[in-house]
Amino acid sequence: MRTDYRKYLGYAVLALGLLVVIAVAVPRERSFLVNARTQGFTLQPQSHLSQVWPFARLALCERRSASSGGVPGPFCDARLFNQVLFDDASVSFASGSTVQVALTDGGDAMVIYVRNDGDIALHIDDKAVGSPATLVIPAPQSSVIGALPLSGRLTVGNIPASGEDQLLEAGEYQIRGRPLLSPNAVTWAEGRLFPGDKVSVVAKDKAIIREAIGHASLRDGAIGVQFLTEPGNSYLKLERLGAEPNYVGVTWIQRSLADPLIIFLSVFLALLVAAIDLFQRIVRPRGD
Amino acid sequence: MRISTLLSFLPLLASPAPALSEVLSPTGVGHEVFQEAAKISGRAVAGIGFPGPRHGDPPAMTVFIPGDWRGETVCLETISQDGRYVSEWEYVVDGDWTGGFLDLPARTEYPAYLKDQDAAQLAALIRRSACGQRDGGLSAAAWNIGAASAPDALTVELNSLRSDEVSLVSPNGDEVTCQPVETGYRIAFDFLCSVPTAILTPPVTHLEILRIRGGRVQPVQGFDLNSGDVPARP
Repeated sequence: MRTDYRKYLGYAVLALGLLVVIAVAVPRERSFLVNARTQGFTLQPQSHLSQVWPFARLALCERRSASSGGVPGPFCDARLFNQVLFDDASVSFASGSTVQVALTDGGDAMVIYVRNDGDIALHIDDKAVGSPATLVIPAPQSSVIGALPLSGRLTVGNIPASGEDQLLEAGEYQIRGRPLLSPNAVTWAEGRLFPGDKVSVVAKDKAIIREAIGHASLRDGAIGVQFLTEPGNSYLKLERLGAEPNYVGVTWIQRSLADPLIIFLSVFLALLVAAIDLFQRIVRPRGD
Repeated sequence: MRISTLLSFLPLLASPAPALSEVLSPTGVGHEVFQEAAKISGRAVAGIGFPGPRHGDPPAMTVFIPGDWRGETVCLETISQDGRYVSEWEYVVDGDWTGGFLDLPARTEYPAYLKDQDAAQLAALIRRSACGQRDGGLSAAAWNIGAASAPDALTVELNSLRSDEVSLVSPNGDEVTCQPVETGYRIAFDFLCSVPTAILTPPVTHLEILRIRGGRVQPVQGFDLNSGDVPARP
């Protein structure tokens, strides 16, 4: 009778211990929340409808050969571009294109440069524009532009070099995930971004940039970019001048420290083992 | 026995070497570096080469020295695409030189490395100034390319400082669109421009480098390409 109850108690302790090990060891998908203040970012849209950006006024800069004449305008570089102005136009980007967005001239203009390997780069309302396409938003104001939705593969900032002006200024990131048996995501780790960092979130193979959803908005003289990546086995790729790229993931210790189930089970297990030990000492005196 | 073997080689050693040693005399100034890793390179024009078949006996250097460079000090510069190999060697051009292509033996401590490289991986040029000075005009130089005569085009290797589009503009307004280099570590150069000799204005052509980055025109730089009095291919 007595052996039975000891055996079952042993099994229970073992089972609880196993549960803790499983909760720690089972890989959990994580997503990255990034918030940055930057002079520029790059977006590869998921599909041509994933974002439509309305602008009250925009200039399309059409490339012409250096020697030919044309109709230059104040917003496009007269040496190489002719200018076409649009009022109240919506811009959408072709899938497969690469969209570079930057603030220039101390925030007096926003330049959107889109490349798509010789194909259609973007649409202004219904007008298709070939690659490479250059758009200038004169005197951008946050109250007029509002939030620009972002959906696709995002890279924020650029590695500093002579003449580089698309630098990240400041920011932070969080690594978030849902613990085992929990409905809510918790923050597993967080960190700061430093001026000049180039940030993206990459998949396990560290090459493919993960899809993200977010938005960009103007914040006094800079672009605020905030995005959340799809859950997965991802890493935050941090590139800094003079250093090899750093891949920030999350360790099992960081995950465990933020997991209520693991903390609860660990404490409960410790108490249980102590209680059993105590109980045995009291009920079964030495020499029994 | 030994002495006689040695002596039998003497006529070989004494026989006239390729014209170059008489045309270009090393000044003793120069250096060569081969480093583990290179991350940055600041030179806009990394090299000016020309197409041609691979040289039969690499490593070999072929340069084009215009006739009006006679008697001048010149600097032969090489940089590998990954920026790890850099060399600069100074020469004085013979006073009687009339202009043309010259084969040069490799002056290097890394012959095995240079031998394996294609012209596309090693950018070279020859500059009409002493090494360390940057003000002279440029002429073509290429590694491991067989003897060339009056090519149809020169290839200019450019470091675009991460531009998206690059083109060269001649004084007559002819524009040459450069192609991005897609492979390898693009440290020393990342764009290749094929400049037809037909748009050159010999003996010196001032070419402007137009760069577009993120939709914006970058500060324009230029260089003088010396093509001398290269006769057009018949």
